[in-house]
Amino acid sequence: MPAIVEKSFPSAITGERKEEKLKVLMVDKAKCTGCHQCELWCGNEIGSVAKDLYLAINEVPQPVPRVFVQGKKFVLQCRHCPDAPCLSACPNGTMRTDPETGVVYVHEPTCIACWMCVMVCPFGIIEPSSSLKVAIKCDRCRNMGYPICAEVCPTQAISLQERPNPSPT
Amino acid sequence: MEFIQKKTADSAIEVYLTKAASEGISLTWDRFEGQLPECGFCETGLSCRDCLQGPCISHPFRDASKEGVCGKDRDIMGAQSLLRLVIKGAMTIIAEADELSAEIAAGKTSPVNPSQADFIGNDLARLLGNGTANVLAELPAPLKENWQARGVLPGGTLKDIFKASQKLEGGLAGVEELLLRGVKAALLACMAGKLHGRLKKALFGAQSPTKIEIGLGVMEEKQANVLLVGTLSPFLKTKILQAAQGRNIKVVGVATEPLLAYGTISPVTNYAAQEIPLLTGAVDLVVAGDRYVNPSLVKIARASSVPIVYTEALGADGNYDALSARIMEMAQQSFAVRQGLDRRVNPDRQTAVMGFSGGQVPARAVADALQEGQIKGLAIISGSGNVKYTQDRFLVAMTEDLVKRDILCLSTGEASVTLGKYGLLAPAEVDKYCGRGLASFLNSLGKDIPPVLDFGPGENGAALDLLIAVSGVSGKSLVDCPVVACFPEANCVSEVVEALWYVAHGVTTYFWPALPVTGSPQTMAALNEYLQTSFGASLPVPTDKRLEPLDRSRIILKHLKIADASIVTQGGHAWKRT
Amino acid sequence: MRYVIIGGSAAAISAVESIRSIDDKSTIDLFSDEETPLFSRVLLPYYVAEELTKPLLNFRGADFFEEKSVTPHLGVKVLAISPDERSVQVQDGVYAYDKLLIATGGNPIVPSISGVNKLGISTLKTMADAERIYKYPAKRAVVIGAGSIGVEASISLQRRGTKVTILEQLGQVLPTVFDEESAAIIAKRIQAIGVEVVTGEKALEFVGDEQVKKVITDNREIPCDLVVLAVGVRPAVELAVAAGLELGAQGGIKVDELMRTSRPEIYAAGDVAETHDIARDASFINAIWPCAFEQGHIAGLNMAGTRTPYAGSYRRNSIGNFIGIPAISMGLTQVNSCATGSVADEYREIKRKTRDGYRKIILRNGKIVGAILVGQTQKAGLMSMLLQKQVDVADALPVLMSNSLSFMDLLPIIRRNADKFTETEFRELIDTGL
Repeated sequence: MPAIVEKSFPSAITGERKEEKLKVLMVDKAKCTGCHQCELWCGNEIGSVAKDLYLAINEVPQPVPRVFVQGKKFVLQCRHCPDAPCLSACPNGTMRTDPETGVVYVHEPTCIACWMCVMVCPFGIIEPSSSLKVAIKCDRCRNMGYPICAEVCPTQAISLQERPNPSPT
Repeated sequence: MEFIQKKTADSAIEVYLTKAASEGISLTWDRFEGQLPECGFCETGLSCRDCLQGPCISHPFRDASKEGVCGKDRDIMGAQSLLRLVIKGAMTIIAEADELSAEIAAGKTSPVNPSQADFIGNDLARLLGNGTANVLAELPAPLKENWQARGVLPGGTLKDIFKASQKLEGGLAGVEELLLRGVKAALLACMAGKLHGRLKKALFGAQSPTKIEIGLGVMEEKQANVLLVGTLSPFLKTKILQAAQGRNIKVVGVATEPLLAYGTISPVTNYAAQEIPLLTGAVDLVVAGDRYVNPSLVKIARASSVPIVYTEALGADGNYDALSARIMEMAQQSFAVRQGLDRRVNPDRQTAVMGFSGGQVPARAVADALQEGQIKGLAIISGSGNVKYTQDRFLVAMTEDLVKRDILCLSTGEASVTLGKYGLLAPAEVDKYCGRGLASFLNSLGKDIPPVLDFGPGENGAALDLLIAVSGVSGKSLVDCPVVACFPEANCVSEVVEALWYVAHGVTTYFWPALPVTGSPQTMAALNEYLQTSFGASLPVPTDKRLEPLDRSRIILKHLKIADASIVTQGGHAWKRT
Repeated sequence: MRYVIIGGSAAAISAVESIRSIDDKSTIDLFSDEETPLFSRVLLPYYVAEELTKPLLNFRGADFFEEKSVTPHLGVKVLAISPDERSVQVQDGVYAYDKLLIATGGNPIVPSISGVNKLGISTLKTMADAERIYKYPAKRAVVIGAGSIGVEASISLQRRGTKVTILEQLGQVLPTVFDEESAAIIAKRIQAIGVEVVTGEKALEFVGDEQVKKVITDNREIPCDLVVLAVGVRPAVELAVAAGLELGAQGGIKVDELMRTSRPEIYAAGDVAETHDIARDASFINAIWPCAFEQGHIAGLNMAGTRTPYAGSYRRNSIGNFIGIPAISMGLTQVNSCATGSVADEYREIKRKTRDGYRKIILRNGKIVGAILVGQTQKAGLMSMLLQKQVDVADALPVLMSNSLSFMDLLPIIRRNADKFTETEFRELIDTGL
């Protein structure tokens, strides 16, 4: 698994570390009230076809949010790992990295629902949608202005920040 | 998150929005932006806080959280969200009727018609006690029988309101049962509200059409202005008006009933913009009750050193003579301090004729005009304004479209004030706004008849009474008459109650914004089909946020079988991302 | 530096990417006996099912070789490796290397059953195989072997309207992938699709003139016009054996933790390589896509001059959307069958069956060495991480077995075992803002 590699060298091709450019969604556990608004609006804005909550609620198949409010009031979405295990598990290049931003995303038209990515994601945030027949995960709203979960969070527990600089290894 | 939507259609108000922004004063619109996006679960009726194990939600997109701790699913949550509003709204309406009755019993005044007042007071007590009231006996027999058969005939506060509230505590009531409980509570409130209206009539005499000025321009820059806000005792308001006589003090109001037997209280604006009068600098004293009064008013008044008299506190001064004298004194003192400050009142004002609830519109004439096709239908226009929409835009544009198409519009409460601001209650404007048929019908009613007829507070039921009378003289049930009720910009729970009782009478009602039931497919369906089957009318919940005013009035015209209702949709969400 | 790579699938391509992430100057010659490169073998059943067209089988774009400055030799068979000359021989010449990667994968096993050479009998390993089966106008098919490829191929054929019987000589479907209970759930699903499932029976003979007409087993005859052989693969070690490279106990090319063979300048990765299996704690061939990709990656990094040890392999299988519910399995499937290692080891099995789901964890000395998830599989990756890192989870079993398991629940475990993670990994896991 690539994640075990001690990667202490810069990429010869880009000459710099990709992750320096990458902004990630950070979650402040103390601020999360577990209100599920991020899940709701992510499901509506990203997951649904209608993008209108009144209609999305009754959509079949059920829209899938990319963010998870977990047990003890904590939000989790894809971390966009610099060495993402899902990238090497994907057997047909459906899981991709945006070279500009480092965002890891599912290229849905080619996803064949083999769930290999689900099998290796250490965070458990890839949802195998049997009804939609695609693996669903956060793409950090790469086609939108700003991540919806961070935008709607009433306590600003979710925020978009620079990935912390890698400590020397 | 930025809210990209024009805030108000009222140019007089707009002036002060800029002023508020430059002075850093937060207004309704700013606070609404701060709330966006509003909680999606509450907005769609998918939340519940009825016990201490919660709060719970029914998550539309997560299988693990479809049901609350107790097992309430989305349909029960949706139906109960509606019931919760109805119970609260019904209690408000009942409380107001009861308060007036109590004030009469306490001897606050001598009624114009003492025996009638006594009779109505007793009838109200019986209605609220066990439902055996004369007001129910008067109902058209088929209507009453249907209500009886459906189990929604009012049976008193304990059976209708308290029992309905028990339904929120658990149990097996399904969507339809919950909806009927709501109807039952609404009908009790309807009857109480109706008696409240009659009580006023017995106290002060029948209302006759009255000329009144509406708009910020009614305030005086060079004298003290007392602003009455919200629902206040008519006795207190009368005392205040009397006390102001000959004192060079102007008494104006917002979100308060403008017509009194003694005189009028000019509305400076409508509910939605109630903070704005304070921004003129010309308000010297605020007298406020509870209902319709936004807490923000206190903060803005304090910030601009305007004293406030709160009339609803426990143990508040019940001696209205003393209180009104003190109010005058305070107003003069305040004006003495404040007259040197910046007082700039936008001069916009409109003449309006209000108060057609006293029998000036004969049911026979309306029925004949309908029969002859002079007018095409009747519409009750209600609703007090909602920040979710550009202030006044929907209410005014939709009403304009309806009167243009020869629909006789009966407006109530705050909706009347709103329409008045735009000249729709001005007799001179009939030809400008109304279709030819409607114009000639209005002219046939007498002199000084405006395009839209104000029927006083919606909860007093005068507009509904006219509809019932029209159906009576036409020999048709309301279900078969071209009638409709419409709340283009509703905001408060009593309006939800009114909507439900209109439907129970057989008047289909269009209500905006969407009631908090949209997350429940069963409740949505029941508000259409089940109500239609039960009462011959429905309460459809329109969910398309993109509908423009004319799209909406087309829906209503289509219901009245008038226009080819091709809906043009445009625009987008009420809130947008930056 | 001259790199030569034999093979054109996951391990080979992954190695190319890793080499190029460090060294963009040296030459890379890649030899593949498949004419169609860059396609994903594990997806061939999807192609047969008409769920994927040919271009969608590709796991890298058509310009991959150009972009990575690789000289591809496609459809070119490597005839021999000369370790002493450091060169490989092909039909039209000899190519010298400084570093060689053998990623020749596996050969499908053709069982020695009478009549196995008749028309209408095929393996499913190459693009040519897939096309042959795809174009074959079969009415009735028998799939021999109920491993992953066998199961997926039978469902694919059944979906296309061919009546399929799947024949497995062991007592359950997916015998090396799932345990009895989970296999039963999956078998039910396969049957619901219309496939006839026959387990515990062996194919004895293929009957027909030129063309196969029926399959005879211990106790039945199954008429058919197509037979798909899916009894597994053997590592393609011919070149390695001829070159004198050492093999492992399982018959794969033996490699060390840097993926080097017994000749340090020759590396091996993927289905042909025998590595240390974390779950079994023994040398093993894990012929699965993710392992091939990882090993190619590690081999590539080491060939390019870094020292990057491989943490070890472990089996991971996902049955995909073929059966309507997700099913994932990793490591050992049951305590008895696969266990090796010391007698002092203490094994435990915890399982839970729900209406349409199943979850099982196998522990060795408190550490996960196997897991099966059917139905609720979203958190499978969490198990995978815990298995790979071999951290003690004995006190977290209720939460691991719960459907509401979340990453949050693992944080205390990860913190406690910080030493098992590299600093980068640890930071990635913990830096969620927690």
